[in-house]
Amino acid sequence: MDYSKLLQVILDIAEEMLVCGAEVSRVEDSIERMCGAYNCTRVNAFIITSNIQVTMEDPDGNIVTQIRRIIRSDVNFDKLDYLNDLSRYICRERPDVPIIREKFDNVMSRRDYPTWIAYLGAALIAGGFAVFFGGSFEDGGASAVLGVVMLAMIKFMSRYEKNQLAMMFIISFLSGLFTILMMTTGLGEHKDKIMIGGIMLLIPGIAMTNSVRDMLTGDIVTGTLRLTNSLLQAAAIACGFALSLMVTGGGAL
Amino acid sequence: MIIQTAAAFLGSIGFAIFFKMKGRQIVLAGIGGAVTWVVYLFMQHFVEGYFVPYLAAAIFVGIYAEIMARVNKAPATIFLTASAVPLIPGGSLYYTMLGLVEKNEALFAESGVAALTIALAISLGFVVVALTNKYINIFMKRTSH
Repeated sequence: MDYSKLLQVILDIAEEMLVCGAEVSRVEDSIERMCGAYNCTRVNAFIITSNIQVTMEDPDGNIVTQIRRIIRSDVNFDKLDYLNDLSRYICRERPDVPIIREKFDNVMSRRDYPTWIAYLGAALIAGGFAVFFGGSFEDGGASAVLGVVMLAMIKFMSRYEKNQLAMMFIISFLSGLFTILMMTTGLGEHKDKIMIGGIMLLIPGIAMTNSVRDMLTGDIVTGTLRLTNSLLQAAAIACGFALSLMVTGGGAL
Repeated sequence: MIIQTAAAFLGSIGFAIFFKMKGRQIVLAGIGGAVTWVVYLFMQHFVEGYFVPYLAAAIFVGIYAEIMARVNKAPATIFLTASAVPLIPGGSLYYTMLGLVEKNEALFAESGVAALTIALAISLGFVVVALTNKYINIFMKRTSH
């Protein structure tokens, strides 16, 4: 067996798990178990959100090391679920590399939702949380429209703007302006509730709480990275909406 | 209150779709979000302030996610992420920002402290569940993978 090819496919699985939104500790654990299943020893996996590195000694006594740089982030819990199953299957059955590769490709080609369902999700989030935080049903409707517009902006912007912070700031600013535009045309009653619905769509709330959990359970580097990132994102969102209020007259509307 | 809980249900379902969950996992995530909010409202009746109610709701959603993970044979983080959304202090973040824009320092300080307190309470709740789960696994000698 070619152990460097084996490690490569294991890293492919690990990379996709991270991209799909798995916790670092889960991915580290999966790598160690998968390598261990093929009788590789001295497995060392070190992962932060943007980098995976693994070194191990294969049964022939060669030392294999591979590093993966991770730039993407595309949360997909359906794929994560199947990748997790795949890693368990690998530990149990120890299939050859081509079989792993085939099953991995099967998971990766699982069909995504049609676009309109993603927009439905965005409308539910923004509309639902506008009502949740005390808005009227009319606010919920306006916020649902805002959610759809925001998702369209996210999809459009992410093609051109790779800087997450800049993107959050611009989208928040435009969303604030759009909310005020809706208000002036008579759609929606409370601009604060409508905007809060929009904020819920962007806010990295779970990343923030998970980062504290990471730190408290020992993954200090990952936790710090995630916390810094999510605090900066929250600040970018707040600044974007704040700017939209300022240029339109400081929330006086 | 019923409207708010229903809104929490819809919002959680929205996130479940946004994170590309499929089938009945979406409904389970929505139910988790709604019940988490009910737990918060319930605790709020008995305890002053919001730290303890948020902590209790976070512990509940953590346990719910672990149970759903076992039942569905899926990672717990899936359910945790979608069902805990109603706890996120999006409103506090907005009013912190508004306080800054309107030079309303009282609103700024109050909402800012609220956002941080809530975030801390949620994290602490998650840690409690994560640690408890770890020790349960050690004692049961079952592999949680």
